[in-house]
Parts: sequence; C-alpha cells; structure tokens
Amino acid sequence: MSQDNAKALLRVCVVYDAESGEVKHIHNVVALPGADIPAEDRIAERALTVAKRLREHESVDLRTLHVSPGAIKPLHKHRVDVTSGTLVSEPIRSQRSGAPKKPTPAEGRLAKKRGTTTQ
Amino acid sequence: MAYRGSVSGSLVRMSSYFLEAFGGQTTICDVYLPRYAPYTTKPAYAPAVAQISLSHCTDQQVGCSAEIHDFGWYDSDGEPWERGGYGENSVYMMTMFRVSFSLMNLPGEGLDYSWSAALANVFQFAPDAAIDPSAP
Repeated sequence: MSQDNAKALLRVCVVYDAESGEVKHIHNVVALPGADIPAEDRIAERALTVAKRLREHESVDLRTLHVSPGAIKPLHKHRVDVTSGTLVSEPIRSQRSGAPKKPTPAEGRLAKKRGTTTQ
Repeated sequence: MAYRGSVSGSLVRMSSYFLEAFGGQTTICDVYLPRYAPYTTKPAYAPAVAQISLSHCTDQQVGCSAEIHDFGWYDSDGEPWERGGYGENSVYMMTMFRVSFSLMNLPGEGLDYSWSAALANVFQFAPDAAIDPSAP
C-alpha cells in the first residue's frame, strides 16, 4: 500500500432514546492505517458506556444502532425510526436560508431608485 | 496561557476530523493509532499529537465544549494504559494507541436549533522525532 492511498477505517454507532428515537450520542471510530479496529459489539458497548457517563442526570432507555459512515451527513439532524430501526436524516434549517424575506421600506426605496423593483 | 508540549522532527501523516452535535447531543470520535510508526522497516515507537478546537457554537447561552475525552498509551513494558482527558484540548505522547475526542452540545432554549462543531487533528511523526510530552 502506498503512502498516498492509505485510508483509515471508519465505523459509526449511534445511541438513541428507545422511546422517541432521538439520537443522543454519535460514536465514530477511526482506525488509522496499521491500527486494529475494535469489533462492532465492543464499539457498541463503549458507545453506550460513554453516552451514559456523559448524561448521568438523564434516566432514558438508551439503545445502539450501527450505521454506515456515509449515513451521518454534515449539517443534518438525525433520529432513529424506532419501528423500523433505521436512521432518518433531515437537513438543519439554516437561519440564513428559507423563504426570501419581505424588503424593508428602506430597501424597497433603494431598489426603486436603482430600478430593480420586482414587485 | 499554558505550555502543552512540542515535537521536532518529520511529520509522517496528519488526519483531520469534523465533529458536529445538535441540541443535547454528544459526539465522540475514537481514533486508533498503529502501535508502531507508519512506513518504517523496523517496529519503532513514534510521537503523536492530538488536538481539538471548537469551531462553531450557535447557542452561546447554553454552551458547548470540545475536548480530549480520554486517551490510551503503552508504558515502557508495552502494557496498555488509559486515562481521562480531564478537559484537555491536546495531548503530546510517544506511544499513544488511542485518542478520543468529544464534542458536547447542551440543549438549546429559544433557538430553532442548537448546533456546535469542532475540528480534531491527529499528527503522526517519524520515530526519530524528538518530543516533549504533555502526558501522562
């Protein structure tokens, strides 16, 4: 294997609320080239242990689900469909996006002056 | 300000990871390193450095944190040891076999969403690199 194409192995295990499906914890595991990656049951065990340690104050029934690394998309919120046991992703609603806002009176006057009014 | 450690020598590989977490969520990234330095003919230990920095936090009222959650290393007898990161943001070690980065995002109040993100880096050096370790 050449130095350039040495890729790391990646596993992802999510810890979720068994009742609501809300993902409480995302546990990523990376094994750099030459390193061993733990077995899936060890990853799930560690994910659950760490998740419980980090949220000691919560009394929630937590479950684990292994997902493909590509399933965790950036800028997406994830939950688990508890009936099918699959991950559901939806993009987060950016505060900068959405429907175009109505121009303020000052902006409207400026647009009229420039001749760029569209209304 | 506090001194965290230093390495002088050849960098062999650098890896970066983008972590993100939403309201009330925690994200962990366990990075396992090879026991010996990569791309060497004879097995040899080599320095490694792990760092994490918070890059985004949309809800500053409730807060979020990015830190080294825990890490593992081999002692001089080759025995593995582990310890908590205790809120540290970097670790400089000779025989590190695992580092765990964590990002915690507390539940947001009043915003549509509460989102935080962090950048974690792992640097692996050549065996002849000199290290002034930060831990253990």
